[in-house]
Amino acid sequence: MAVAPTRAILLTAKDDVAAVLAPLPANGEVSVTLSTSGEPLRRLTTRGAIPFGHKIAVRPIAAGQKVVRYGYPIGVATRDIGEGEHVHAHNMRSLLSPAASDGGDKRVLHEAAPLRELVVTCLRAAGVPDQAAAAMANALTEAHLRGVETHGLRRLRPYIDRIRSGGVDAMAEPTFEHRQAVIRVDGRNGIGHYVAQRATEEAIAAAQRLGIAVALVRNSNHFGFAGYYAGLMARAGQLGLVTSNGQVCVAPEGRSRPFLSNNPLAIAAPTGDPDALLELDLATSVTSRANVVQAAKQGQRLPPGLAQDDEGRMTQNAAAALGGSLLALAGDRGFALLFALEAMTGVLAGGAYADLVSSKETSPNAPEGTAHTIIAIDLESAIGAKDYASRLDDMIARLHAVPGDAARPVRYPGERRWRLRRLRLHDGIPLTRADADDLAKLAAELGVTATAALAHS
Amino acid sequence: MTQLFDQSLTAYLRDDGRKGIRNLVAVMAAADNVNPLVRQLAERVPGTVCLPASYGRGQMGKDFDLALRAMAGLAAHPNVAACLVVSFEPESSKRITQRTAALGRTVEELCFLETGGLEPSLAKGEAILRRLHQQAAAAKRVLLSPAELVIGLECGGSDTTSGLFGNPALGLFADQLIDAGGTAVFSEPVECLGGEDLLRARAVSPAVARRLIETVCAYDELAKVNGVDLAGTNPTPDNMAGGLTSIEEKSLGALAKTGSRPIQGVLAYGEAAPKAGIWMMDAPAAAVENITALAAGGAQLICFVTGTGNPSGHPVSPTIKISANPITVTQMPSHLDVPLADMLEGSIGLAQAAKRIAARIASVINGTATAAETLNYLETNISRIGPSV
Repeated sequence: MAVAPTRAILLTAKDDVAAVLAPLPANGEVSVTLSTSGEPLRRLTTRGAIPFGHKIAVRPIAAGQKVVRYGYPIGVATRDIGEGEHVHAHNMRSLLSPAASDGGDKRVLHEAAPLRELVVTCLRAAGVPDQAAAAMANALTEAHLRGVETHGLRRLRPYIDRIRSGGVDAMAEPTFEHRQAVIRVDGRNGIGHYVAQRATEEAIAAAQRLGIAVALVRNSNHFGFAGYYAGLMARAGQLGLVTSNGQVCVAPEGRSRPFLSNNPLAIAAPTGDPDALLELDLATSVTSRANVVQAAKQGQRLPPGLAQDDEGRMTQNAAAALGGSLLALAGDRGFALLFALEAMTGVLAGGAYADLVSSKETSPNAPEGTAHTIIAIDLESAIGAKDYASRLDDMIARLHAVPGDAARPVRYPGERRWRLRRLRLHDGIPLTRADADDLAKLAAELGVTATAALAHS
Repeated sequence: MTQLFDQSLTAYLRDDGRKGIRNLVAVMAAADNVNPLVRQLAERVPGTVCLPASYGRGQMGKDFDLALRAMAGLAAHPNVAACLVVSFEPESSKRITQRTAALGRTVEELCFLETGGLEPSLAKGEAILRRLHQQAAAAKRVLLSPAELVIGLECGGSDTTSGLFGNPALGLFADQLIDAGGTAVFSEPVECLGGEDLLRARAVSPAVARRLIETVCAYDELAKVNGVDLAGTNPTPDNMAGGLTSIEEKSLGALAKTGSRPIQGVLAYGEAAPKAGIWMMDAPAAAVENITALAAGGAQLICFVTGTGNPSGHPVSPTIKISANPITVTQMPSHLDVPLADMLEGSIGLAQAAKRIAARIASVINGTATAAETLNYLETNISRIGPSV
């Protein structure tokens, strides 16, 4: 009489995996049995040994695909799993754990210059004029060089989508009205990066003449990371301060509706090293909205204390946070700072402010009406550029000399960014394969050849 | 439709309209300073359930509210025919009796200070308890419908067999009970971490889904504040060796005991379910604290799935032990009510296992002692969620 094969229990018909009820060698035979009915469904041959109680794949599972047991996802396959294979930590991971290094997450280095060129070419193909395309490509590439990936190439598609839907006018040229040290800028709903870059250049030039200048920008759009524009001023021998409003996402604590955007505050200044700026750049919410979007996309939970749901209750669920609001940094004091920043941005520039800024998500075709405030202080007029740099270098040296655990160095704002930038200019920009593939796909859709920039090195 | 139970059920009707499956007389301490008196009273009058207090003095805020809710829930429990609440000073028992009155039950009070110390309190308390026992003995069992049942669902000492057999079998029974109009309460939100997809899918409304997920996340946050990364430390090396790969999988295995019916809402620790269906109670996973919470919420009995063998039962809410682990079934048979090792062998399926659980529940309801009752392996302890001052 033939011995009945070991059973493998399938808990629901939807499941990708069953649990084997005895240890099995490779090429062992199991009878997959549905728990609810007790009916044997089919026979399966093991590929490799499987211990008692462990899981066997009852169908092929592709890398990146969710693995279902009990009718719900228990994780994601980290490599292609064949039918009959043992499913465990070697080929599956929790959706809650940070991404392990696997195919989709593996980073490949790309040279910065060709990557920037690819962005320019894509934007031109999407109908963006040369100067505006260059401005956006510079900002996006710099984001990757400085490790601000949340404001990098992943945004290219949504930016292009918005240009195509008519939400942003790619052809618009900003207008400038100089009133002593104040420059009133109308972005005319142009590309945010271009508008902000032009406004920054005007502010730099005016400050060189006047010692200080402020560009107040209205009718603009999302301009990337604020530190980029502050950095432009710092590299021109000035102290730069930049803030901007945007899509509302921060609610007063315990309130259900977001009221302010998390206006970034960026301050940059030159040190004695031209490739190491002081660059403060922080979202005034406890985390940036981009981080929440990313967590929601990857199905990861947020750390506690960052966000509220749409009823004003604290949540760690990224999706609930997107539908709800972020909290301001440092509680009530952060919210107060945010309110004051908005008073010197949207309110001062004569643009949309607070919850009057239009949402990209709910009205993709309406102009956002974003406002930026860009302040340039010329260091020659102040203490002298050289003297300033040496004093700042001294302050940095004194910070680094504060005694403590050498394994946990204290960093000044911008130290990590500019160290990364030096490294990445030399070694290349790491992109996940998934991101590189997305970019290649976008390029292909636009009829652009991406092979030079995205060749897997 | 086949009957859920193989025999008709009976229970004792209480003043508040609820029905109890036991006819207990209990003596409860309002605070730990009268535990010696309460213990001695329970010894003097055999058959009295002793409910000592773990704390009760210097508690405040939500922690104090939780303690009072749980104490009142136990004193007014339908399985308790009568309860004597003992306090040091009158205020501390008043706080409990006001709450039991609000629940529709009257309880007796005894105050150490007012009675004049230990000896007179022992004499007075003994007299009260003997009277309560006499009155309780007059109660008669009446018919109990499944729709009047509230059952707690718990698992502990879980292993591979729990997630594969014990919990799904209890889950199937839970579905049948809900379909018959009954009520079930599960807890241990911490064991739902990573099961958010399931909670979202099973919540009766989006608002309930948010409450469920928020309740689960609160435990994660609490752990993080105390330096424990639950998602990072689960599954444990033991779990991994047993075949669990992710915290989602571990949680879904624990949630299997809750069946598949829509989750009605989140109950506070020791809070009674306001209507039928399945509910999640916000109580920690530690077994004794957990069964105390389920009992305080009015569960007439608790079904407790164990893999490696957890012995604890609650003195007020009979606790039925279910295990599909053949080693536990062989080595600890006296601790088990429903052995399911034959599920692993394949000689019975899920439906028969659920039927076996239902049969044991019916017999326990009608008076058969559970393993934990027979062994007197009973414990009660109310959780703390804040410090005393």
